[in-house]
Amino acid sequence: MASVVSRHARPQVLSTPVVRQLVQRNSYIAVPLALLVAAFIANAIVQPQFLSQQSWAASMAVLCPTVLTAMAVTLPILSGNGGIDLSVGPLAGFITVLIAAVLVPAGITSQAIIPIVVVFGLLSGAINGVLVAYVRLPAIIATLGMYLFYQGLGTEVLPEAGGSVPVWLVKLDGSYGPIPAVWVVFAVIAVVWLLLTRGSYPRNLLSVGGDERAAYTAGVNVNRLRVVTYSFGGALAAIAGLMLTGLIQGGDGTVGPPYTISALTAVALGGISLAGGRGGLLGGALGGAVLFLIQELLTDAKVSVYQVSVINGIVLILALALNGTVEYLRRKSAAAKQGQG
Amino acid sequence: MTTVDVASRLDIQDLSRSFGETKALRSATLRVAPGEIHSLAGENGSGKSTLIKILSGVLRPDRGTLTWEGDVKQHLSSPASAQAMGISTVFQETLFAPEMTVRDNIFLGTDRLFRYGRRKGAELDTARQAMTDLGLDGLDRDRPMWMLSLAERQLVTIVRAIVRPWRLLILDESTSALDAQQRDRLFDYLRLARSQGKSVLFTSHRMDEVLGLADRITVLRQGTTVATMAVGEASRRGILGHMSGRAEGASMYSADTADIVSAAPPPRLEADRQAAGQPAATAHAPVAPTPVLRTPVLQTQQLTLRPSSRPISLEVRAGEILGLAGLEGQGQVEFVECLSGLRKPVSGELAVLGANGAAHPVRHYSGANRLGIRYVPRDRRHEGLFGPLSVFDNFAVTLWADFNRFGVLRRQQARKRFADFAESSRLVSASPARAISTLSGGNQQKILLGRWIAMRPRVLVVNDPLRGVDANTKEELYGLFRRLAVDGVAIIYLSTEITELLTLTDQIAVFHEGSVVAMLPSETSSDTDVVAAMFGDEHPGGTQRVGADG
Amino acid sequence: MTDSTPVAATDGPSETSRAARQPAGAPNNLTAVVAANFTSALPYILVPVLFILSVIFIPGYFSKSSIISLLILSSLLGLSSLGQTMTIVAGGIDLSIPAVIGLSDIIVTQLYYQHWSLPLIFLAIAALAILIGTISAVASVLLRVHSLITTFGMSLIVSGVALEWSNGATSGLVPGWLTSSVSVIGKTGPIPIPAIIIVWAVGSVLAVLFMNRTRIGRETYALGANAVAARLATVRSTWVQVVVFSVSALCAAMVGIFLAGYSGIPDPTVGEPYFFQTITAVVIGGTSLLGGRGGYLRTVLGALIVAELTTLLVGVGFNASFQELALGILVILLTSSYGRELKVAAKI
Repeated sequence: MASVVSRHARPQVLSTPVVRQLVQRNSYIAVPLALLVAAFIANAIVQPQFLSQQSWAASMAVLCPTVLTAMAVTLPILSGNGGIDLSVGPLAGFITVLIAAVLVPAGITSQAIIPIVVVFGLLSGAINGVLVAYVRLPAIIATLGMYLFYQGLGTEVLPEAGGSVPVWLVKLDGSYGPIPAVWVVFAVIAVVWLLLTRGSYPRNLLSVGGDERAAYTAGVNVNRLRVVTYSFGGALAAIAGLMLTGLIQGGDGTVGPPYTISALTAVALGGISLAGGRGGLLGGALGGAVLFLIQELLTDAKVSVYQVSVINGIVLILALALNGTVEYLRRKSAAAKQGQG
Repeated sequence: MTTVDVASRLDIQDLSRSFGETKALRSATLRVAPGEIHSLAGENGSGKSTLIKILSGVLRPDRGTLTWEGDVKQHLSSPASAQAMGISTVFQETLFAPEMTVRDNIFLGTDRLFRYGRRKGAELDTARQAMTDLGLDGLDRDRPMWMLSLAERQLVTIVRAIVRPWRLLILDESTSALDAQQRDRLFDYLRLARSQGKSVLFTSHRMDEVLGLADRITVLRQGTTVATMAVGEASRRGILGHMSGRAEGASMYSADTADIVSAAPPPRLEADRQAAGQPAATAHAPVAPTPVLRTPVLQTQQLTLRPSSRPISLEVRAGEILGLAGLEGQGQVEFVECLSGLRKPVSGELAVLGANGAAHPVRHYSGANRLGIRYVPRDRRHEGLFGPLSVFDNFAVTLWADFNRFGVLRRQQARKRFADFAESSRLVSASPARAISTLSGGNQQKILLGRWIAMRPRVLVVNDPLRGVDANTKEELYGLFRRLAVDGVAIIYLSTEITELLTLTDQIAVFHEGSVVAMLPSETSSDTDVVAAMFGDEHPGGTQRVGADG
Repeated sequence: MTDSTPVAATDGPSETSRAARQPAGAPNNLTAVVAANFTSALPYILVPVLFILSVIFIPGYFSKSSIISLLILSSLLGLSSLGQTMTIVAGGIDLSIPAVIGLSDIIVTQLYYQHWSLPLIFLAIAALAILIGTISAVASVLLRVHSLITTFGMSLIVSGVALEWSNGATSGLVPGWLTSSVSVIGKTGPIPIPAIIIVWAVGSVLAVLFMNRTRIGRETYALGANAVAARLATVRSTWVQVVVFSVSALCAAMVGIFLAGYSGIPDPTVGEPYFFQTITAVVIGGTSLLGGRGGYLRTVLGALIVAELTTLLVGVGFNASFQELALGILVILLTSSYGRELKVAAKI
C-alpha cells in the first residue's frame, strides 16, 4: 500500500509519515475488507430481509461472540513465537456457566457481573501469558491445557445446560431503540482499545512478534508484554462469553469449542499471519464478520449443515491463497523497485 | 559532551560464566577508561561473545565484579537496565523487526509498555542527526526493514544504539556487512564520541580495524584475559600470538596475512589417503599458485544484472580462484546469485562448459547444482546451519542423494567422507554426533563448507565465507581453498576484505554500478588499485579493462 | 510458528538447549548433569510409574485384560500419532487427523455393507488418504502458509464430507476379524494379542527406521530444523511434506478402520477425541513442536503415558468432566518439567 501511495503523485497530506505508517501497518486489511464487502453484497442479494431492522439486531447478536473470540485469538498470535490461544472458546463457554450457575444463584444479578467477568478474563489470560512467557511452554500446549481445564470445569459445575440470567443481559442482544445493543458494546471496546493503543503498545507488540530477540535486546520487557497481551485476549474472550450468555439465555459448558474453531478460521480470513508481527485487532474483527456472513449466506441458501463445513474449509483455503498472493506481489514489487545489491 | 570524572568507566575483575559443563569465561578482566576506544580481541571460543552478553545485560556472570562508573554491581539484570545505565550494545547478529519501519526499529525499546518515550517530533529530530552521522540521511525512515540491504540494516541497529544517551558503546563485529566507505564514517563518529569523553568497546576480526581504531587492546584466550596493552605497544603478530597461545614468531602459520603458507598435512595421512584410493591431497602448493592453463568451466556472455548496467562477459577456468569485490550494493551479490541459479539475470547467457566444450545453460538452483555449481550461502545461521542436528547430519545432508540404496542410507560411505574432510580441514574434536551448536563459529563454518565440498563441485561459489571467523581458522580454510583450486575446482570468491582477496585469489573482478569495471591480477595489484576500481576508476594502476573474455 | 531455529552464532561453545536450562552458576556440576538428563528421561520414567500407580489405585488392574486394554488404547493413539510425529519433526502439524479417522470409519462401514471386497475398500481408503495428505502438503507450499491452517481447512472439508456421507446412514458392517483385532480377547493367529498391538509394534519399528535410516527421514529433520537452509542444501522440501502428510493421513485412515471395528457402527465423529490427543502424545513424549528434533520412539512413550493417565483417571472414578479438567492440568504440569522452550536471552 505504501508503494501505491508513493508511486502516484498524491496530495501532501497523504504522504505525511503518520498516514503512511497507518497505511503500511494496516495494508493487511485489504483482503479481509474486500471479502467483507463481497460477503455483505452476496447476503443482501440472496436474502433481502437481511438488511431489515429486526434481522440486523438478531444477526449482530449472533455475530458478536464470533467476532469477539476472533479478536481474542488475534492478540496472542500477533505477539509471535508461536503465540496462540486455544482456550478462548471454552473460556467463553465457562463464563456462561459462571454467570448462570454461580453468580446469579449467589445473588449477583446487577451490572456488577460485567466487571467480575472482565476481571476473570484478564486473570485467565494472565495465567496463559505466564505459562507462555515465564514457564515457557509452547503456547499451543499451555492454552490446550487451559482449553481442557475450562471444558472440564464448565461441565463439572453445570452438567446440564440451564440456569437463569438477568433480563438486562438478554437485552444486550436486542436493541436500544433503533440501535442494536451490540453496537454499543463494540463501541465501548473500540474506545477502550483506541486509548490503550494510542501510545507505544502496538509498536512493542508488533516488534516482539516480528523478532522477540530484537525487542529484548533493545530493552522491551518481552515477558511483561506477553502477559499483558494474553490478558487482553482473555478479557475479550470473557466479554464474548458475557454476550453469549445473553444469547443462549442460560449457562452451557459445551458451547465453547466451536468458537475456538471459528476464531482460528476468522484469523486466517482476517489476513493475520500466524507467525506474528503483522496485522491488528481490526483484522480479527473483520475476519469474524466475514465468517459470520458466510455462514449466514449458506444458511439462507439452504445449504446442508455438513456442506457448510466443507465450504468453510474451502473458503479458508481460498482466503489464504488470496492473502498469500497479495503478500507475494507486495514484496515482489517493492523488491523490484529496490534493485538489491 | 561531558567528561565523567571517574578513574575508569568500566572495570571488570575476574568474571566467569559456565554453561553446564562448558566454561565460557574463566577469569576475564577488562578496564575501559572514559574517552577511550578499547578493542576486545580473541578467537572464536575465547569468550568474547559471552563477555559482551554479560555487559549488555543478556546474561549474568557466575562470579566476579563489575564496576560501572564507581558503582560495584553484581550483574546487569536486563538489556533495559544496561541501557538505563548508559551502556548501549550493537550485537553481532543484526536484530530487527522486519515488518516495522526504520524509525520504529531505531526507537524500539525506548518506550514504556504503553507510553512513548519521546514525542514523535523529538524522535524524528534525534534520528535525523544520528542517521546523518552514519551516512544514512537518504534513507526513508518509514520504509519497512525487510526492504533494506544487509548493510543498511546493520547501520540502523547501530543508530538504534547511539540514539539513546550512552556513555559506553559496545560494538560486536558491527562492521561485518559494511563497505569501506560506511566503515570510515562510523569510525569518524566513534572518534568524535571519544573526544567527547565517551567510551567504546568493540570486537573485530580485522586486524587493520583493531590497530587503526583502538587506543587499548585486551586479548582473551579460552575465557581468560591474557594480555592488555596500548595499541602503540602492539603488533599484528603479537596480538595473534596472544590470541592463539603460540609465542610470537613461532607460529605454524605466518601471522601476517600478507603471506599465507598452507602447511602440508602430515605424511602419514597422505599414505592413508593413497591407500584408500582417494586422489592425493596435493597440499604442497606454492604460495601463490599460478593457474596452469586449464580449460574454462564457466562462461558468461553479455550477462546483464540490472536494466541500466553494462553486460558482463567473462570466463572462469578450472583451478582458478576469481575474487569478487565492490562497495556494498554494486552488483556482486546479484552476480553470485545468478551464478548459483538463485536469480535470473535481466538478459544474457550463463553456462557451464562441459568436457567437450558444450555449453550447458544455468537455469535455476537445482539445475546449477546438477551442473556442479555449489553455492555456500553467506548467512550461516539462517541459510546454512541445522541447529538442532548433529555435526554429521549438518555435513552429510547433501550426500544422501547419492549415498542411498532405494532410499535407505549408506552411512558407512558418508562417515568415511566426513572423516576425510575432518582430517583435511583440521577440524577440532571431530566427534560427529555432537550437536552443531556446541562448535565454535569457525568450526561450524568448516562443516558448512565441507557440506558443499564433499559433493565434489566443479565450481564453488562462496559469499563472504570467512566473515566472523578467527584468524587461525581463516588460514586453515585458505589452505583448503588453495588445495581445491589445485585439484581443479573453480572458485568464485566474494569478499568484503580486500587483503583477503589479494592474497587468496588469482584475479579480482571489481563491481561498480551493477557491472564489472575492472579485472585486476591479484599478484600485481595493490589495495589502492582495488579501492580505486571500487569507486569506479576503470584504469587503476594501468591494469586491463574488462574485455570480451575477461 | 517459527521456521528457523535459533543457534548461537559464532563465538564460543554455545549452550546446547539442554544446558541452557541450567541456572547460571550451577554450584555442583554433577547435579546439573543429572538434572538435565532426568528431565529428558522423564517420559521413560513416567511409563512404569503411572502403571504402578494404576495397579495401586485400581483394584484388579494387574490382569491380562487390563493390560491388553491399555495397550489397545495406546496403539490407537500411537498409530494416529505416528504421522503426526513426522509432520511435527518436519516443522508442521496435522490437524486433519480426526477428520480423516472419521471419514475412513464411514467409508469402511458403508462400503463393506455394500459388499465391496475388502482389498478394494482398503485400496480406496489408502488412495483417498494419500490424496488428502498431498493436497494439504501442496497447499501449504503453494500458499506459503503453515500447515496448521491448511490442515485445519482440510479437516473442515473432510469432516463435512464424512458427515454428509453418513447422513442417514444408520447401519454399517464390518468384518469379524476387524472387530477382534481391537478386542481385548482378540488373537492374531496363534498369538493371544489383538492384531492392533502387533500392527503398532511393527509400525513403530518401521517408523523409527524410516526417520533415522532413510534419505527422506533425514531430510525431514533438516526441513524442520531450518527450512531455508534445507532448500539450499537440495533437500526435496515439497516431496518431504507430501510424504509426511500422506503418511499421517494413511495412519489416521488405518485408525479409522480399527475404530470401525471397535464400534461396528458408522460414526464420523469417532475421531474427535484425537484432535488434541495426538499433539499431546507427541509433546509429552518430548518431541519439540519447533521441529528438527525428537522422534517416534518418544511418541510411543507419550502415547503410553496419555493412555495410562486416561485409564488411571477413569479407574479412580473420575467422571468425564473431571478427567478433562485433570488432563488439562497434567498436560501443563508435565510439559513444564521437560517441554520448556528457551529463554529469549538464550536465543541471542
